[in-house]
Amino acid sequence: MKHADFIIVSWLLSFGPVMFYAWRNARRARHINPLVDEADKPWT
Amino acid sequence: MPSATASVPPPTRTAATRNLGLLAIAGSVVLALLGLIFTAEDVDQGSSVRIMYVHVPTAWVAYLAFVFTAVCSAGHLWGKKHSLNLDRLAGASAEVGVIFMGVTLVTGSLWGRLSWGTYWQWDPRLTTTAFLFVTYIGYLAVRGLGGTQRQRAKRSAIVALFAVLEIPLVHFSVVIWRSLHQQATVLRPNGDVTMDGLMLFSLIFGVAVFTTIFAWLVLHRNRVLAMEDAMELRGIDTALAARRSEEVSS
Repeated sequence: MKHADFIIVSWLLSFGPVMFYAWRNARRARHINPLVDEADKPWT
Repeated sequence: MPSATASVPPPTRTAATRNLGLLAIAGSVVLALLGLIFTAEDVDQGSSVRIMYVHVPTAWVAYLAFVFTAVCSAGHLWGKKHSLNLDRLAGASAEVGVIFMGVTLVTGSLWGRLSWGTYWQWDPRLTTTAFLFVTYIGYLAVRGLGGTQRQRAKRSAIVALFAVLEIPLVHFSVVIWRSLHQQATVLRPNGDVTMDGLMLFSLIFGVAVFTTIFAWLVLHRNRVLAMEDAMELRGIDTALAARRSEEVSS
């Protein structure tokens, strides 16, 4: 890899896992949402 | 083909989390511009210093996440209500902290390849950081063990209060032992910061951006954990009601 590639890969590997975690969490939230009473979601 | 629910906002979203998310995205874009384009190259390290703008903030915010986990755990253990919400916040914070610590290790490894010619060395800073990372994976494993929600909260809180003691060891490892890793540039004991103004600003800005991302992720994750806990309790209630009705009818 070239010098610049290391830098680009570092930045991609910094934000990639964060975005994946956020997406996975949002998917889980949508999946279980119909199974949970509104009373158990005080933020809504 | 995207699923039908892909465009539906997650049920954990509120106005506050939406604004926090937008702030995190805008901040990330500005950080990328600062870190990759506007800041100068380092005299010694050249352009590889650009990795610093993600490596150092993720490390500091991982520390922050683990300290927050410990504070929430202490709040659960010694608070009057033994709040399960504090336990869930502790768990959510540790999850995000583990991701950030993993990012720190990977970006540090890539930076090490450019600076030292190797991806990994069993150096005090690298080894203690890896140990901290594994410790919090262990903490998450402890959270996943069986038992009631109260049992989960109590045992994981105790683990969190021990695990957080590793952070000073990681931070001061470069002072205590001879290390390949450079010593602190910003958080120095004598308070003297030897860094260019825009570089320092970009670094601090990076910390602010990753702290915003941390808060955004923890808020969403905490709400998902609350929904999971509520689902579990309702499942137990349903099973108990079914069992009672069986006893009455027999």
